[in-house]
Amino acid sequence: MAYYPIEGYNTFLLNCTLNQFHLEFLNPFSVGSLMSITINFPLLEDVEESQSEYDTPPTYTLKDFYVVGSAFQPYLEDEENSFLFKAFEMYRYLALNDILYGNVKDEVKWRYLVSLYIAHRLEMHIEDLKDEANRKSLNGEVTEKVYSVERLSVYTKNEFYMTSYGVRFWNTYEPIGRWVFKGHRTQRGRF
Amino acid sequence: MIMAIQEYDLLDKPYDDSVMVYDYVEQRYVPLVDGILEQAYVNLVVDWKTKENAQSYLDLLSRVIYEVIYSFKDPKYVESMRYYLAHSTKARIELFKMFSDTAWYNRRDGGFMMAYNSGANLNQGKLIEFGIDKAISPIAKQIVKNTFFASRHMPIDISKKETFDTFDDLKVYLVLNGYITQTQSDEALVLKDLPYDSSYDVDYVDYKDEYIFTDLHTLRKAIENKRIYNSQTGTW
Repeated sequence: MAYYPIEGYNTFLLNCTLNQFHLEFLNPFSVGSLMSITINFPLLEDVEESQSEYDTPPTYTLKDFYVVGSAFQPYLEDEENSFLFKAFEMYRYLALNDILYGNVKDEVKWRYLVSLYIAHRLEMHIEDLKDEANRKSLNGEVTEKVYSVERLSVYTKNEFYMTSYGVRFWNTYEPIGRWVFKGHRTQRGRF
Repeated sequence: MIMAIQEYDLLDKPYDDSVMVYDYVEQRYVPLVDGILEQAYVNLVVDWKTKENAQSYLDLLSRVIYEVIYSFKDPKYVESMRYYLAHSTKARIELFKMFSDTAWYNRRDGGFMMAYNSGANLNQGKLIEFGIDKAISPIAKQIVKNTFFASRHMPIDISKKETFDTFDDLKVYLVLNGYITQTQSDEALVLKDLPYDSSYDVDYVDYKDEYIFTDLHTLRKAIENKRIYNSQTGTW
């Protein structure tokens, strides 16, 4: 009776589908030609060995942010006493997770991108706090300025287009992200 | 204790001097007639006949200035601004600058009484709007804009904060101040083990390798503990 391997990550079937197996099973004259190959010594490299110098990002602190986000410095220079500090910490965490150092592979460019990302988030954050359109206020005062909801359509398309920091971030990071994701450049249209 | 209002700027409580006194009922500073005379060189007794009248006028002036400052805020941020105005040294100085300026402004044509005018001319059937911006002079308006008074959101986090180098130091502080019990402290080995409580928050900042404690109920406690007049005993 042929052995039909169903378990194990290192055992592979050769020239065999489930239908073939059933046909062979019902054939009393079958030579039992089902084959499996088991690799006892995987040739794949260990996960630890695959780590590179880019897996650990450089330290990114508040003073690195000031280079690009100097407009926010008065709101952050008291560090933990600043009202934006917790928001900064959260956006910093998100940036370090979203913008992988291994994708950018350049320290200065990586710092630039992380700073732009945080600055974009903080600008949106301050816009929420100001709430000039009174969307989050119980104050029903009608403001003379027109706050159009149409602007939110930009938000749904690509929220990075909402701020100048975001546009700069997206224009720099999108080609990198596309390259990392696809691994090649695609040709659009006929040529 | 580190406060979010920096130590050099922090007042434990508002204080009285020869220039201004604090009105605990309405929670605002009120300039004194003598203070305005000394600092702004305006003798209000001449204008208002008696010192009592002049002081009542300054009480109104104080209310107008505070309401103008609060007009820049969303109502939900007014309480934190009130706390800041009462506990900041810098704010106290800026407030008196505005009081002095408005005392001068009111001696000129109109003054803040313009803001009280209806602006209705029934003979001509016309209405001229006098907004709250007429309640203070252009100079006082600029003082407002040069400080945090004009920002819509309170730009200073007034929550009490404390930083710790080690997790054990943090736990000792939490136990001593009654945020957690000794048993909870013993059971907590890492930050995530601390019991959830909406009254405080603890963050770990990796690049500074320190823990930041924040008392989220600072403002609420301040409002609860503020000086209140007891009408039964006649004491504060």
